[in-house]
Amino acid sequence: MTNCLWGGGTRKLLSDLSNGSLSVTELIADSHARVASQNSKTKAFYEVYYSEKPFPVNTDSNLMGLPVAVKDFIFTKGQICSAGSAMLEDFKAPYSATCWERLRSGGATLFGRTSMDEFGMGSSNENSFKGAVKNPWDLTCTPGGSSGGSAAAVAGGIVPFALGTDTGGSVRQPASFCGVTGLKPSYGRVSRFGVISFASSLDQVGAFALDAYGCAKILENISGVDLRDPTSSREASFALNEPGQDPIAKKKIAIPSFVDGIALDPEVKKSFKEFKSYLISRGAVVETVEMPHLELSLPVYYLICTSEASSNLSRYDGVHLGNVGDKNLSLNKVIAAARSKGFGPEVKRRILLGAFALSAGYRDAYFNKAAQVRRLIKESFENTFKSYDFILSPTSPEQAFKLGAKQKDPLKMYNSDLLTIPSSLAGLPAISFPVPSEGLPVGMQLTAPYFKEVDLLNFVDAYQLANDGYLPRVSESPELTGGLNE
Amino acid sequence: MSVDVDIDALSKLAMLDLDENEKSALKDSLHHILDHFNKLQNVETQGVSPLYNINEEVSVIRKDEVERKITKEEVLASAPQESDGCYKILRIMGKDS
Repeated sequence: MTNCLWGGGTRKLLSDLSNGSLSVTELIADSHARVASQNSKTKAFYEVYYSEKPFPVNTDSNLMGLPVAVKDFIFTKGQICSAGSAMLEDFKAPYSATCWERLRSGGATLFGRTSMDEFGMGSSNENSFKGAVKNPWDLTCTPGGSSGGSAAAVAGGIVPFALGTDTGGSVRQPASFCGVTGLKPSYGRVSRFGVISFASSLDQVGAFALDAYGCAKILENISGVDLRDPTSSREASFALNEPGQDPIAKKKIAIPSFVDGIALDPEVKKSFKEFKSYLISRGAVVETVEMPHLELSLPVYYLICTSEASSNLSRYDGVHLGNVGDKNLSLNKVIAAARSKGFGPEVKRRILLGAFALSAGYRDAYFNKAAQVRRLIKESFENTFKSYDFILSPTSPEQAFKLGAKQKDPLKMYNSDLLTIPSSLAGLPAISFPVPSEGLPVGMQLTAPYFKEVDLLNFVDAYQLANDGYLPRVSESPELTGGLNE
Repeated sequence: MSVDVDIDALSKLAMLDLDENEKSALKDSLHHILDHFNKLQNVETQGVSPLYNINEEVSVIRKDEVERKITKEEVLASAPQESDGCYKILRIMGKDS
């Protein structure tokens, strides 16, 4: 197998396409060859749309026909959208999500539908009804979740871009585990119309690419108000502009003190330390800062997301949506039977936890209490951003863990999201990008004030441009790329 | 504060049919999770207004205009059951529903 055609980064890819040294047909053929050799090993894709024709290239289409993988949570008209669940196994999207419609108008070609944890609930992509996804860097490890398929698709060099969704870290944590760049925009930046809901006050569409420049290209296309989503913000669409000054030098970067109390994998700890030194050498100011209440993010998040999920998932009743049950039973029994058969164990656990947090007698102590502490967490960020430009931490306390390692203990699994959850609760933009590490990839997470994606992306772009040798790369491990003739 | 989850009542609320094994496993894991989450109870939140929505811009209601972007066939394609061009659901009256 030849080297990945876009391994030199998104800028080079776009210039190769525009100067004619690479054609989209050639690129898509390469993507098809890669997915054919890899998918039996990683299971990143549920489906590849081999007959999709490249988008007609014209001067207005900024993505020039590039193939994009889409998480199985996002409607693309006429195609199955199953949310990784047996409940929606045969459900065909009757219309396209706004984000996909916009990406397509920008010149993207629909490449395939990627695997995910059922209804976005999971941090290892092991909760997909069609089996776990494997990490392209080590097939015995998880790619992270819930957008694990999209991350693995980019990391394996199959597609240069992928769409995911991020509720509590579902783009950033898999990006970190797979060594690619993953962006969660500000809440409201991207329309959620046509995206299946997990927890509506937290869900946000995000982008995977090799680098920050790639994420910026996706965001340019998908952002902006959409009247079909009343929570989409009327702030102007995102546009990347040339930074007037060095995006790193003199920037003030806060590290929340609660990170010190978290047991980081030795490799993550080392990469984090080296990255801090690098930033200081570039003239940034890096300081540890007290950010009260952030250490409570995990229970706050899991009480809020499960409460919202228990309500959102009530629509899957086997009558209106979902596979119909035995029609000889009474209505309530039909609904209960369809839900019990259609949902997997983690989804059931979260529905029950949410139903508990919302139930009479407990609502004040759990759901409302969590929403109050959420306010305190948001204020904690606002106070920090009065004196700092960014907040930095590792994306995850660990590198990709072994498949099966946390399946028996839900709390251990929930802890994987410890560092990505705080910015989700506050609705802030955050990005995960790879830094040098031994063995498996390690990602750093940078968080910016609300709607400051430009600063975030310029910062990471400047880092990636200055460190060609450290640039994220796709996995070319023989285990993954061998066996083309299988 | 340690809570006792009534798994029977909860599964009824959530409309999930659980067998005895599932019930016992889920009850244990909910207790385990909720015990851990109880540290929230110690946070002083008097006078703090709960945050339910991030985007605090006032919602704008779009004009209610009739659009026909989806055909009847496209809608029916995802109906669990279809009959004579209608979306068929289960009988909700007349039996022990």
